[in-house]
Amino acid sequence: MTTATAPATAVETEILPDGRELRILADGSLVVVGTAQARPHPVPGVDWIRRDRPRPRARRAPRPGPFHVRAVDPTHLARQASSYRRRLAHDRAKALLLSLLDPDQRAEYQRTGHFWVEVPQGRLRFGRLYSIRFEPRGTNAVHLLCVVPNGYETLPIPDIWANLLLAVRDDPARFFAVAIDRTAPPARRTLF
Amino acid sequence: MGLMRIIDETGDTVVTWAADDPATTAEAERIFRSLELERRMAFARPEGAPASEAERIHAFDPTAEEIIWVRPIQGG
Repeated sequence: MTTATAPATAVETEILPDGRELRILADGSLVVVGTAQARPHPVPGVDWIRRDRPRPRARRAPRPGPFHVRAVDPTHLARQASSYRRRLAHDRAKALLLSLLDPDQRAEYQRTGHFWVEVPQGRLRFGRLYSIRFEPRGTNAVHLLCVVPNGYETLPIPDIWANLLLAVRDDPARFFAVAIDRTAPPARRTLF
Repeated sequence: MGLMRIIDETGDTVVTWAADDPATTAEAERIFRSLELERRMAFARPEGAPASEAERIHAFDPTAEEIIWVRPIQGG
């Protein structure tokens, strides 16, 4: 519990710029009473900082209507067109490859994404770029070969397999002569 | 009508000719020669036949049903 002492009578009162009162008491002490106003009332002779121009107010952008047309990034359109062309090329190449496969190979390729090719040297599994599985005839060995068509970077993947399929059927010896055996030590990377 | 498929970045480019039309046959033969000079390999097959029926050819055959051009191979 606190006890408040009655204030002494003010001999002089002055209104402060912020709205409070400055009271000078009889014993010479000063007391400020009241609550400071956020926006003090004008006092003659005192210049207040005022905003002469109203601050521009942020405005919400108008909501797009139901038929609003968005600006489209031209590079996005170019990327979409390029992707579309690649997909078309892949579809064409796949159709050509499927036409070159026999029914068993075709079914296997559509099921697993790879197919086997029998050659006099053994059998080859096409389906993984840079890693053509080769199982030489009469052994349990497995080699991973890398053979690609010239300029293969520009070709759709199924075209690469069609290219290699025709090449190995025509001249298997040539195929193995250029093949790089990735499973062999670097000094002995050619097979035959 | 004969058909040449040249594999490329679009999948393949098709060139057709009619055996009874000297102009289209000559143009197809010209393209055949230019691709041979690029060391590409041509295979003829009955249209749509599997690779086992494809045969390597070194000269333009206007009676071929379908010729497929592939690229020489190399180690990767």
